Amino acid sequence: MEAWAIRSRWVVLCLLAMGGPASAGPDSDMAARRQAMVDEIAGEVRMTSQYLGRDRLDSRVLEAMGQVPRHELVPERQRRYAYENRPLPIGHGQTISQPYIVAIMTDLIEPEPTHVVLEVGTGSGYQAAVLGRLVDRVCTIEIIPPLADRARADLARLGYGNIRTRTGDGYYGWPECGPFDGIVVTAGASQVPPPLIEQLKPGGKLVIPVGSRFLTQQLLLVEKGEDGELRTRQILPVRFVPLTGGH
Amino acid sequence: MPQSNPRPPLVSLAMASGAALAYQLQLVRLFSIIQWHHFAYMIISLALLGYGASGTFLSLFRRPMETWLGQAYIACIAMFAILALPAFLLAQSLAFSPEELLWRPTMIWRLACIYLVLGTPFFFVACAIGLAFMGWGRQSNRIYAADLTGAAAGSVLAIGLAWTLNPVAALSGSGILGVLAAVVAALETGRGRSWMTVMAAAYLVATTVLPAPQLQPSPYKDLASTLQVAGAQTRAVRSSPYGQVTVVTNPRVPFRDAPGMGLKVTAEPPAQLALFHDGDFASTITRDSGDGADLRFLASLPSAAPYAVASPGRVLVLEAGGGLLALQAKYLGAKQVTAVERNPDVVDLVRDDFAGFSGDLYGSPPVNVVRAHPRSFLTSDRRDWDLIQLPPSGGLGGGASGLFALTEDYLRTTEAIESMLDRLAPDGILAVQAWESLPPRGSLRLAATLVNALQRRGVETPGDSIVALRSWQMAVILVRNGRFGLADLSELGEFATTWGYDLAWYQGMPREQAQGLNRTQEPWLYDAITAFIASEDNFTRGYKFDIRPTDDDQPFFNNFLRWRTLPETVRILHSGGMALLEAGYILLLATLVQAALLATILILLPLVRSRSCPPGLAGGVKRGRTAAYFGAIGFAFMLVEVAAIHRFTLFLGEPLMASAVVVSTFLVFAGAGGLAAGALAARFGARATARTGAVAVVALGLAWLLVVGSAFDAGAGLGTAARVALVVVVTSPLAFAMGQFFPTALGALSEHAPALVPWAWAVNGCASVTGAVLATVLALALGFDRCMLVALALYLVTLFSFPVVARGSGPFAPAIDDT
Repeated sequence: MEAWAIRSRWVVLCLLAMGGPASAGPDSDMAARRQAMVDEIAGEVRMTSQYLGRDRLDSRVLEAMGQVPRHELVPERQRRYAYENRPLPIGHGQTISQPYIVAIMTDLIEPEPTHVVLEVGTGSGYQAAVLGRLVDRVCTIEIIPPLADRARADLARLGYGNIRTRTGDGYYGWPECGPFDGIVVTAGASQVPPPLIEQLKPGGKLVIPVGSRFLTQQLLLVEKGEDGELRTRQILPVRFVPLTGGH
Repeated sequence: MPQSNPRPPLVSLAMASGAALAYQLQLVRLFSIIQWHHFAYMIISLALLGYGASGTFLSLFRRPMETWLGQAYIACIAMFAILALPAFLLAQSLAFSPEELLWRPTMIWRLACIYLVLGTPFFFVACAIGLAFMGWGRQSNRIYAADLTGAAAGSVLAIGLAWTLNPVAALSGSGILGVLAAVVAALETGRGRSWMTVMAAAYLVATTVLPAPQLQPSPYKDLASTLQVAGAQTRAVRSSPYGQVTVVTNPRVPFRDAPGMGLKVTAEPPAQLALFHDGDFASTITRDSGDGADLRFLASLPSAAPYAVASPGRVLVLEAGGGLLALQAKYLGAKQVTAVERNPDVVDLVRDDFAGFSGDLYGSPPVNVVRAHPRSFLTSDRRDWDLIQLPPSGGLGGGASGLFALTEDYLRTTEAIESMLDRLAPDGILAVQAWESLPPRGSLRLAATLVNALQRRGVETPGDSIVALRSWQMAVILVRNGRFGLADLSELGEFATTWGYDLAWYQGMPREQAQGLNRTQEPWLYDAITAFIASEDNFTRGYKFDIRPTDDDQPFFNNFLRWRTLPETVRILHSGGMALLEAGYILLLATLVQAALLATILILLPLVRSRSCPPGLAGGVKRGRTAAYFGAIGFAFMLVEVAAIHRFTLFLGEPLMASAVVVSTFLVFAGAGGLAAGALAARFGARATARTGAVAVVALGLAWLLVVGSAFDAGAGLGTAARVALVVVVTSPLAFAMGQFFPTALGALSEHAPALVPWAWAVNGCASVTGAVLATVLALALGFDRCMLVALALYLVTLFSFPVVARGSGPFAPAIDDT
């Protein structure tokens, strides 16, 4: 009997390890974990300053990251991981980005309270929620209907009144909502859709992650000058220098 | 304990062995579809340790197994057949996400469960083979021959099934063959005939009546996530040994594949059909309605750069896929376009099924499609071309994250580039593309390879013949059979400015010009080409990734790992550095470590149970020799096989054909060698036979290395059948000699130390499985020819480690330390 009891305990432990359901804990606990996550992001940004061109993020961005309840925007079974600095599966073959990457992408478009921002790829709604705390209006488009429906409901439940959602093809942007001071394309793309460039205001910034769903390899920042001229900058979001030389 | 029935169950054994090999190959196919082929390789490699586990089990439970040997033999084959399909279905239901493994280490438990579940069928079929060796060990040469011949037939069967059935049905076919093997086993042993007949009937009925199981691909695969988008529909699915090709359309959210398109391009591609290979995005078929305005975007892609400086009449497109570059050539006025594509399903789909959609692209002039491996086409076709287009290798994501590291790429080696340069007409242009990862890797290696090829061809000023452009995601390097003049550079500069590209290098270009519209922290491509042209190797030596040119002996274009970079990458793994990890190589090493650890446990486990060791063997001398001997031949056999497959891939033109021909030849002739060894051992003694065989293998192996290149140069112009025959002629003596090692020693062990027979089976099984992984590691590190030399050195070990030290000249003379 004893042997069987030990074995059944192992089975339970293994099931838990394989991703069984778990409770998320009280709100105060969540707030503390959220703050720890923000502190971790700030530390990593300092380490990647050479590539990012800055050694700290806008304090408003970090503040927003510290306010958005990420655990409310991930599937129930992922809640206990919500404030770990890593991407999480949200179903339908999609992920919610690593908070560190979300913070950098948000910072790169230099959001201001008067800005209007377009997001292509709503996903869980987390990026939109962070932007929603920083700018006047966020318009977000999701291509997968069930994800769009869920994000719309979650964002409404959490009281984000300045976020407009739409289900559909992000290629053509959202002209009625623009022009935009910033555009965040959260889904990797084989090209930068020309209509998005067109809907970007002079002086606006567009950012796209490149890579797979769990691994962001680089960020592409497209800057539209006041004269309408375009420039791109490829950013490696990691401290990995120098590439050559005596090391 | 030898069996009272003097005739070993050879037919059922061969059938079971064939079913197991077919099952193994089908599993690799299936896991390539539902996961990624690198993980398929790892998962199946580990599951094959079921072979080693069977020997361990038989060692530990030798006595009851001997008592019930006939029944156990039949039951094991039946269990393999029964579990074959359910094991796969259970394994695929364990939601395992490889990339998540890097973030979430507990995912390892699911991986372990998959190993366990998939290892079970292999365990049972290997138990059956091990039991045959235990029961009829004195006829081990006949059993060995049946085992290998059956496996050879199984490999042919697997390819046949892959051509005719979908992958799940093909897997069921392996199970059915296993059931039939169980029935034949019952007939051969005279036990349980009624039971087996009933079971087989029930199995066949169940297979027919039950609904066909569905594949559950990872939701993170390109195909699965594409089908999540509103409006996506599957238009066609084709399956063959080349993989599964799926065609998807989406009228609501169209595909807009325009590889590397510049930021200033405003034209939108017309409707496209997406082609997925084993669930990964491969290419698109672009609609050609005859309205040229729809195809304007083709003139602005980076691949259109050569058309800015020339009007090529004859264009060769390698790795043509769905035909984008062929369509571009047609649109831009080429008079003769040859598109080379190796996957017959892709060719058929574009040419036949979607001829109307593609404007009959592959079925009408000026495009002529050729179904061939591009490298073999370059060897066999002697025409000259004004433009040769080579598209980028792998996907944007996978290429940069190291997932293609293990893939042999014979189209981007120095020799391959030389053969392309050889096919250029005067002033002709070779245009090669590479995805721009960050930090750049593929584009730099490609540049290094191009410069190396030019230098090897004696071009004195290679810089005059090279120009590079880049967009934010793609680099294009043009190499001319001649020189680029000032007018050419001016045209290219205008092309780049118009569409949003930067000139990245030309002879005499100022460094700061490389950082125009698309900026990176440093102009790496400029710096790299400058260094390559000047033959300065400081840049290459100092770079954090391996960007040296590849060659045909180590054709791993996408393996960029530098060991000295690994510690730094590991340190920054969770702060954005995960994408820098060269995942393919790391996974391979992880597989090797896991296999080695598990194999060690499986081999040592029986030794801790001293009662499994008969009196007289406690000294350990024989066990040490047994382990060394059976381990060495297990490792060596796989190393030789892998090296031989590689050497014949270019000669036979196709990796698939090379694998089928080489594996079958090795199995059949090794089996024949095993049979012959029985007679030789009876006449000259087992030990003498094995030693002579070892010397023969080393001599034949060295001769093989020396002769094979010349033989294939001479046979390059032969037809397919003649080339296959030549491969068989060249390979069979070596395979024949290699075949004597296992049965000769096992027969001797069976005579003098039968308790060690199952343990020897375990050692050999573990070594063979680990050896297959080790072969890939060695090929990456040393090249295939040195892989062969390592194998020959291992065969020399057998000279000093024959497990039975015999007195006298007879093959089964008593061992010196036997009581």
